[in-house]
Amino acid sequence: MTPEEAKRILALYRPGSADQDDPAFAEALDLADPGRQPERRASPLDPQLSRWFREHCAAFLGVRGKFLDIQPPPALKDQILAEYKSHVTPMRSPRRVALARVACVLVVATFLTVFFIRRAQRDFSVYRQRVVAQALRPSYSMDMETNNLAGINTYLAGRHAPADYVLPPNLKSAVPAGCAVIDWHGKLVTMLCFRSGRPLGPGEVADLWLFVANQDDVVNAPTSVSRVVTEADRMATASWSQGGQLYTLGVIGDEGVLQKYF
Amino acid sequence: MTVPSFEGVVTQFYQPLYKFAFSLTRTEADACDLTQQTFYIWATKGHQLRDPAKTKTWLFTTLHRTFLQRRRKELRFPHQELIETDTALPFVEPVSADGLDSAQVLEALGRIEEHYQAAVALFYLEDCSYKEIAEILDVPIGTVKSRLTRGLGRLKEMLSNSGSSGRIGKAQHDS
Repeated sequence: MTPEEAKRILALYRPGSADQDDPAFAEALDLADPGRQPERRASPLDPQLSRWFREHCAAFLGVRGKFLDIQPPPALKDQILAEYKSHVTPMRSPRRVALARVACVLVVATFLTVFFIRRAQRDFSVYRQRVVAQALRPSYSMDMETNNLAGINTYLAGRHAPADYVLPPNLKSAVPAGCAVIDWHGKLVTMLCFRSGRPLGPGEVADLWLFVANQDDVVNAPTSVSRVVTEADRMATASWSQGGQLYTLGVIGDEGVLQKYF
Repeated sequence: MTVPSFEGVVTQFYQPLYKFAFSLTRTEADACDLTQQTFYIWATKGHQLRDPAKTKTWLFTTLHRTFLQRRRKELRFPHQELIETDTALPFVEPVSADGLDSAQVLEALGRIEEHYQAAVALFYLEDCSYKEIAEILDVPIGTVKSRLTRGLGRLKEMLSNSGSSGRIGKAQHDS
């Protein structure tokens, strides 16, 4: 590096600043700065350049001193703080922002949890368990005991329960025993009770049941007339949807017993 | 790193910010206004800064941008009435017989091309690294250095003229 090149570089050097550790100045400083430690110096000191460098530093500090003489009005700080207090809403610190975010996440998580729990509670599998349990309860009372299907329909319509159902073709051969209206998360479900003609157990008044609900009231309900068949708790069930209604036919016995009603 | 309070930030930075603002505007009223505006922006938007270590650079950048926005607005809608004359008067200080003073230095700074002024002011005012100056001015480091080289050259010319005027002024006064 020539002394002229070093001068061009050092013209931007500011003594007493971070520039002394800036690698961009290191080589030029080796040539010009007598205060540089010998072990850090890669090139010998140039006496002429060193004189120029001294003058540069003195000139810089002189001008810098003029800039540093600028003083703000004594009231400026108070003015800034007063304006902040009167006009500006308190700054949201990262801590507050973080807390707000956590709160938002908790609210959303709670909402989603409640949403999914409620959704899970209204799931078809839960519905089916519920109606099977209702049918198998040792002592349940029908709202109305009659073998008059027209009378049953009138009662159901009066209770605003599903009454416009379509019976499977062979179920018409079964004898109506009565009906009940049961609650499903605030929605009404029709329970039609029949006697299949087989001998009933002690205390039993029916052994064949058809449950009718609004299809939209049950999450993940079958969406077509294709029957979903299960066997559980000594009862076989078939579920399907038709005309916006969800049907579940249950019978004491197995799938073979169930099939003869379709 | 913990986030300093608003008052803590004001205490730490209002003086260097004011000095930078004054070196750009050369009037006390405008410098105060610019400094206050910078802290107002900090109060409303400072929380967006993720790294508290960047507070100083953020404040200087904001002040410089605010200054440039105002300048552009003034140039688009120039005020040629009495206001300009009034604000122009206070910073035209008489040349001191004792040599250069702050006012002369700032006056000289004000006479160099505008795009050199901020770089030169930051060069003298603050112990900002070149990287920080580049961030504040939103230009590459190479541009900072070329602006400084030219800006310092122009400043030296202006200061020489001021010095000559000062000496002439003193000589005339003495005679």
